[in-house]
Amino acid sequence: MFQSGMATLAAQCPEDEELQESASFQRSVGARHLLDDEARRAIPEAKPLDAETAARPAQYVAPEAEGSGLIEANDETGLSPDVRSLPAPWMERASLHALQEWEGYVVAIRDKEFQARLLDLTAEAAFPDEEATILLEEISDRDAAMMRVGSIFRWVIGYERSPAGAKKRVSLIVFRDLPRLTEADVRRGAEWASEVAQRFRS
Amino acid sequence: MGERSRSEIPFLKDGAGEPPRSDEFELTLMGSGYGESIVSHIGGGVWVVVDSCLRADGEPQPLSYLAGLGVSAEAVSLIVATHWHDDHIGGLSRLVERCKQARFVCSAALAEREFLGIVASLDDGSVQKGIKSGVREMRRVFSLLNDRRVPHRAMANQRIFQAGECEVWSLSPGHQTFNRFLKSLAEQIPRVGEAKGHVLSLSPNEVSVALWLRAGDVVALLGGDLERDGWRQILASEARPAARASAFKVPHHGSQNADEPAVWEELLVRDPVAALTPWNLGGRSLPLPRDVERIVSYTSRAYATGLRRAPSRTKRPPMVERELRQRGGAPTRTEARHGLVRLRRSLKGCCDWRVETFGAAIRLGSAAA
Repeated sequence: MFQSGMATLAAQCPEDEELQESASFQRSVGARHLLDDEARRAIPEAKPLDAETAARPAQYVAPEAEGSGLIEANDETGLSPDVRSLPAPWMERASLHALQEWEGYVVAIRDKEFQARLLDLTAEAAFPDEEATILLEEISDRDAAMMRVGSIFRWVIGYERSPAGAKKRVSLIVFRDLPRLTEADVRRGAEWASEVAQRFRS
Repeated sequence: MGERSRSEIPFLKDGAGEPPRSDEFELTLMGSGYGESIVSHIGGGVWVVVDSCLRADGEPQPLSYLAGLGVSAEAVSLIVATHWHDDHIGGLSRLVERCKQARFVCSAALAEREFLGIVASLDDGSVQKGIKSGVREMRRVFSLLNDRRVPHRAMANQRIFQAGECEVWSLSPGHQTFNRFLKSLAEQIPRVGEAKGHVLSLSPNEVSVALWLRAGDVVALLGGDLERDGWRQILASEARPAARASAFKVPHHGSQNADEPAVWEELLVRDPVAALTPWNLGGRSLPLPRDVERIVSYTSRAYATGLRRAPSRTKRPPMVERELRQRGGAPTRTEARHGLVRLRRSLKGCCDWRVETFGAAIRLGSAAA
């Protein structure tokens, strides 16, 4: 039902890129993989066993899965060479496909939001010429506590693909853990400052 | 430089890209909403550049303008950085690098060892690979200046440049302001363990350099971002040059706190030509409508390189737009369109200023403003 509904919707909205992507993805991997939380619970369907295999102790025969490996038949265990090890999802990382990326710095902080100046990295802008007001709830508690005027962050909007193949829209704001001033920085700074100050003439 | 065609400056109409005559004074103000620069010809092929800002492609705007006129960067004899705010030093290091014959001058406050030490300690090679900061720009400028190109510091009532009948004086910062700034540095020294970040403001406007330019019988006053207290010190000084200016770069984007009525009464001729650049950041903008009203009450010949328009937005993929809508709205671009205000007149002073506006530049007080 869902598959036919998605395909119908996509046919009705050819200009909707997200919908087209969803429908295309669905066609390629089947109806069980959805673009929302349900996808995380999706389990690949097993192929039915032939009569001879079915007579053996129960085995799980998985369809071709990315990253899966073929286990050689073990005479002692009697495992079928068709048994494949599934990749442990927690051992593979989700991949992020960025559609838009900015680097920004904070210019003002208010009760529930902060104002930032943004450099469009995707468009390779020469200087930060955009501004945005961002809700504080969009950032982690840690970042909100550490943030001050001048703090620098990256903002990425795109798709995250889970190891299982599900796609999810994401918007990530991550503040850079900037280096902290050290005594060596202060000393080097003072040396440079002395050298430069001496060059000046009135 | 000089190899780029004049048609590359899109808003300069055919024929408008001619350089001034040798006996002509030119004052050209450029800016687009976050950035300001002044290019001036003070006669005899001598060019002065005050501050720097960037074009959308990252090229320093003053260099682009000069190239459009067919003027070589080698013709620039003086570069002045009035203060170290980001909107006044965009591309400054590239300007200093290419204008190899130019003397570099900045406020004396910025040449102080304590201030330089603060700047240097906040800069880090791993910081701000995307966003270029004023700190990085400043360090690069100073690294370009060595024993062969000695930098100069500007204080009140100092002649910082002279060539024949042309002279340039700095009118600020005064000693009182300078000393106050030095005392405040102690509070700004970053502490060990403090995180580095983007430094928004490297020096207060009060130590900004205001300039008095004279060529022949023509005088221009360039206000930088100097605020009221600084102007009062200038007015009170008996050592400043006496001749009144007929052209005025309005200080600090026309803001109220940079306005001192006595400047118009005592430092300027009656009904001077005045020009300013707009400024936008963090939802704030200058000049405000009441600032425009005030300025046009002082002179009937006031211009701006542009004024803030309704914020524009970049169109992005549908998925990105949806995500932005859910999270508070899309970023807005705040700049006005780019514009130039160009003033030219004969050095003999016999004729009045000829004013030309290009791009988004407008006359204040007109219906368009």
